[in-house]
Amino acid sequence: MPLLKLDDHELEVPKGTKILDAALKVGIEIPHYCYHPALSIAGSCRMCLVEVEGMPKLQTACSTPVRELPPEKKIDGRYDMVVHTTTGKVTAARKLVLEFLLLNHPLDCPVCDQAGECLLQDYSFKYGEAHSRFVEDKRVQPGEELGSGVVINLNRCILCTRCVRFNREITGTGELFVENRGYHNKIAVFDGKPLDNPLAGNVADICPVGALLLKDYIHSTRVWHLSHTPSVCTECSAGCSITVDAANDRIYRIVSRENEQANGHFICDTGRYAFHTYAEGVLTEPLMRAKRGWKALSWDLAYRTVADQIDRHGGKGAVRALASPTFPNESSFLLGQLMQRLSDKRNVALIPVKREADQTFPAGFKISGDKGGNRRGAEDMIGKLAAGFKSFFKDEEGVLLVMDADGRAEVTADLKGLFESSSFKVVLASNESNITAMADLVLPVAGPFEREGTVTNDQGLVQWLQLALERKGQARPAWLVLAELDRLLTGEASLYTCAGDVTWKINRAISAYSQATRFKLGLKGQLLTGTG
Amino acid sequence: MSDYQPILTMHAGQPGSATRDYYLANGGYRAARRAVLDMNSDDIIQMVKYSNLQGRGGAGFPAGVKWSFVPRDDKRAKYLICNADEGEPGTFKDRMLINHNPHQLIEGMIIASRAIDCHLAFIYIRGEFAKEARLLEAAVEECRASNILGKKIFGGKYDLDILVYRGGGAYICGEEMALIESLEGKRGWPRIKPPFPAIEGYLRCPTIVNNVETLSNLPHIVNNGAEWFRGIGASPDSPGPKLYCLSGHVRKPGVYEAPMGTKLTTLIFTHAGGTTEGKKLKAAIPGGSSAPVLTADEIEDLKMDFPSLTAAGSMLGSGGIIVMDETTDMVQACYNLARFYAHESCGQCTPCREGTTWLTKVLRRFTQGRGRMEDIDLIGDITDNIGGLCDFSKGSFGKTICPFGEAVSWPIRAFMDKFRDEFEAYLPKEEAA
Repeated sequence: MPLLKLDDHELEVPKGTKILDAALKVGIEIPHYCYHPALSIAGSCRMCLVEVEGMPKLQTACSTPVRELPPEKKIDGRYDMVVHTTTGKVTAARKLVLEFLLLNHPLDCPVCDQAGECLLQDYSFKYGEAHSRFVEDKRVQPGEELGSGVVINLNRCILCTRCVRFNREITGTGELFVENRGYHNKIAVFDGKPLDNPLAGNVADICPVGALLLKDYIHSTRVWHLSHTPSVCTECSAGCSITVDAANDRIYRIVSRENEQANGHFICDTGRYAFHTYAEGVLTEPLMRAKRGWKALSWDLAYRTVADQIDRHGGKGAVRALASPTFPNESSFLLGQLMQRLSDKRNVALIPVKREADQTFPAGFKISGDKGGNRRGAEDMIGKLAAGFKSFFKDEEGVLLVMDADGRAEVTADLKGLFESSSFKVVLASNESNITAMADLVLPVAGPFEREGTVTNDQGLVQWLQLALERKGQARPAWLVLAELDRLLTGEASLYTCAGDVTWKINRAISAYSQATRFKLGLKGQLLTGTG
Repeated sequence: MSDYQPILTMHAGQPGSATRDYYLANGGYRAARRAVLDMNSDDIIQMVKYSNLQGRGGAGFPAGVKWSFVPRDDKRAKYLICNADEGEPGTFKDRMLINHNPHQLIEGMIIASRAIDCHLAFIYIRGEFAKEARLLEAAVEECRASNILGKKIFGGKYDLDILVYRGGGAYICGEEMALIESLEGKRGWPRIKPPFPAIEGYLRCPTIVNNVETLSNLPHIVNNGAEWFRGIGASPDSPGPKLYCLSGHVRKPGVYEAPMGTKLTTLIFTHAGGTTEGKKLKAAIPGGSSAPVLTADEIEDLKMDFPSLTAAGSMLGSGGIIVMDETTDMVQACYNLARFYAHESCGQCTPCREGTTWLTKVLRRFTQGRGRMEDIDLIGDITDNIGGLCDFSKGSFGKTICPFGEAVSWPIRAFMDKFRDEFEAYLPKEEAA
């Protein structure tokens, strides 16, 4: 392999590796705009110019491959390529490119949503000049709506074409293109047809400046007020890594978090905007169905009501449960344990959740049609379940313990029959839904962004779901509710102090999860033992 | 006028010179027949290499050497593209060659295709050249009808077809990579080199792009031999017949064929009849608008060939000579050029997109009498930042993807440096003081 000398670093990289990739690997910053690891090389912003020994012109680090020299021609007898990223020539070139980029840029950082995470801002600060020599009038263009909740501020655009390449290469839909020529170049929708694809929101994420913006986020907060919580999206079984940006106990946006094993660099719009739906109909206290509407209960009374109803309707042996494919493994695991202790019958199944066809995009990005985001995990926790539950749930009286599927449960005829035949229905849910509407007792549990625990995607990747928001009102984590119920009903449950305790128990109990410990998961997750 | 007998334009102006029958009757397609039936690829490449035929599009790269970059044992198809996207201001020779002798070009293309083993060649012709495109299409059709193009041409074993493709009329599409993109049906944005087109060009296959005039020279080289070709002109290092386009302040503007190395003053004063109204010569742009302007003093004794012009700090380029007499306002001329380049910049990479318009804005202020003293240095700086420093001896130092950055920087920088006093004269009084 060629030996590359990059400033003071020496590294061996495969022949053909681009200089910029090599630099990123060793942590040398080469500023860049048009380069994006998931997209083709454009080489057009000219920000990443570096000096390569033996080449008269400065070279773009993003497009210049590392070469291999024959032994007798090696530089200093050792190196195949020697690259400098901090010489006077390079820093001068960076200054000049920044001056060019800022000529027509409005410099409206005080009202720009990108401020604080803007590459134009960062690089100008680090590599640019404080003053411009430009005294002419700046170009002013009106903003435009592109569709799918994306708007463009053309004045801020630096024409890196990441968004154009994204829509050509990743989604294959190609709505965006560069209109006109030269100075009049602008990003626009081709033929007036709006940006319309399920990944459209990503263009705002990959935009290095404040040009492409999401309508639901514009002017809502400043990025430095946001806390960034690395978490996982459970809207479908692809299990994309996300960052939840929240402040004042409110989510402002969700952005993709790079994870090669899961989603790569992008997320779909369903996952991106899902948090809006969970802000509505939030359940904050245990509710008991009353003659008219609902009556609030204390948790103590709610638990005792469950125990009481079990005694009244067929006893422990008649309890049936539905686990949820959208909750973390910890709750499903505890539900499985509780049900085992209550009786030796096979009395737990999965609540049916909408299934659609998978959507796979040209570059391989997949939106799973299975909207039960943690189905694989739930099945692992309570054992492989039969396709339906009619075969082993007889129509008989008894208490039904249901974990909601975050509004994505499908009320099939089977499910309806099960609810109708059961004498008392307890539903654990975070928001009002079609399932809570059929309940007798609703126990408020943590919502999707208030949960902690592990989730397993359809590829067998276990990731840690991190709590991004405080729970609302009296809502409790689902694992805690189940542990407390277990203790009340059987007196056998272990004492858990946090979700991580349950994870530890899972690591011990299920061999495929033995390596999926809280600490080994880290930010990127861990593949199940035995999957590759 | 000298006793030089035109070679490329020998049939120009003859009635019917654009038809196959006229061409065949005057010895046409003998060279192509020989190349297809009696020569192999190496023979042709060696011959053209030895002839020192340099590309006539502007860069002057030796044609034979370019061909030899095409990988030999490569399974991919090879393509030849004739660059007929003649758009350089001051240049109008390719159009004339096509108009008067399209079959000479086609014959040249057959020879070049044979050299690189190409079976489908293209003529990428500038969109505005509608008449020429129709003429070429008719000529190609004539050739197909008489086994000059098509399957097993000249009764041999070699297949070749030529397609005429009309561009959209963008200057940048004359750049070979942008041309290839455009031919593929994409936006005419130059690609990053390397890979060079000879390795990865049209449809990611090895591709050679040659200028109309370059290709038109080939039949004569094959017919008369490389030694003959080397003997034309002042120096065997840069030989051959050359078409010079004279425009601007000359009595008889037009295309003149003369040997390489003809003196610029001869071209201006003998061929083109001198400056209009006999005014004093002030300057001339020797090789299309991208070539740095030369003052009357620099033109004295200047030979028009690639090495001489490089030594003089300019370039032969396309051979488009724009003559300016003493009445010319150099600031306006410079502004005019800047406007052209700002209009034609493709806008792909930052320095060129932003810089060309910035230059235009500053120069416009100058012409309106609102210039500032520091603007003179600023213009120099901007040109450096787009196209790199003007140092021809060390090659190009551009900071852009394609040579457009240099093509805009060099001429404007030359105007600034050589006619600085005129720029200063445009300054408002309080600035100049």
